Amino acid sequence: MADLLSTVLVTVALVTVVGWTVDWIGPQWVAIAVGGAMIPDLGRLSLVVDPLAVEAAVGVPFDLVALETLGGLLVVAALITVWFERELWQRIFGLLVVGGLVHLGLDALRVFVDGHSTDWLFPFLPGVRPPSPNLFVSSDPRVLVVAGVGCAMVLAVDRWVVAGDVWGS
Amino acid sequence: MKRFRRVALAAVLLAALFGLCVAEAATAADRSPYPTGEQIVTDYESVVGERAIVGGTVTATGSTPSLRTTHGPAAEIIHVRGVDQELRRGSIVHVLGRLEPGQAVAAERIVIVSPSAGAETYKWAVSGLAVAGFLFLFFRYWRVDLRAFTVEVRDRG
Repeated sequence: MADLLSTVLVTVALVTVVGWTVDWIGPQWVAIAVGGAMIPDLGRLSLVVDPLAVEAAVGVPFDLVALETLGGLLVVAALITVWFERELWQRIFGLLVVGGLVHLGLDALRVFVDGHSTDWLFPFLPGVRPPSPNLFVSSDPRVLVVAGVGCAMVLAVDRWVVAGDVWGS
Repeated sequence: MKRFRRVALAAVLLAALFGLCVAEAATAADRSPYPTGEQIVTDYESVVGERAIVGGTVTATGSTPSLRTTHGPAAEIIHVRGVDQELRRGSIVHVLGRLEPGQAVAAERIVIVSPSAGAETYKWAVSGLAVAGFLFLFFRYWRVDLRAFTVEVRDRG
């Protein structure tokens, strides 16, 4: 995976840009999309909850890698959405999924030893591993620099050009 | 929405998530073109001769470096043959190659995922920063109403 901070910065930048044409997208909605960008990282709960221990307890195979897939993203996004006010569900779910897709999409761009990403489209396209452009490894700090500069530029344009706050008033 | 209905819906979704985790694990070997990490670690002899991706931490360097690859608490040391680059102890690498007898892989391609333990620490540190930033951003605009069992936007304006 790309480091989570880079993923968050790219999500903030993309959703902010979308907000330039979609009126209702403000900072509170950017926060929701950022939350969505974190959903696939919940697979790392396997560092805390041992899947083998769960397997032994329930007697069936079990792996939290499912949380790093499109199916996992949709179910977790729905699971989070139900705790919000009913009239906000559509927007909450949509932005959680958008954030999660940014995460999964960035992941699919990193370096894989055989040139193919994980089968993150599970369970919709099981076994399909799209080719990767092999752009970066997740521990490369240059990814964060690029994401940070890009996000800063978007936020600057958002504040001083789009919002018309040129003089910082 | 009534509290009970919300909890019931969450329970159904939680069950669906559990089912997805089970389905993922149950079909992992069938979906992958390579032996799974579990097969490599717990039943190496059954996958000798197959092309595989072996991921692990470099434990020994030299002309035939070694990797420690794990599956849960179980671990296996795999020797890497045909290495055309310097591997540093403690780095995390992925090796694509054919598995040979004697816990060895004939490398076709190697990717250094983390060049050192420091690189892994960096990744975790910035990820922690991201979580902190998210929590700050989220609770600036949203609040949890414990009585209504719901999350609300702070400013409806």
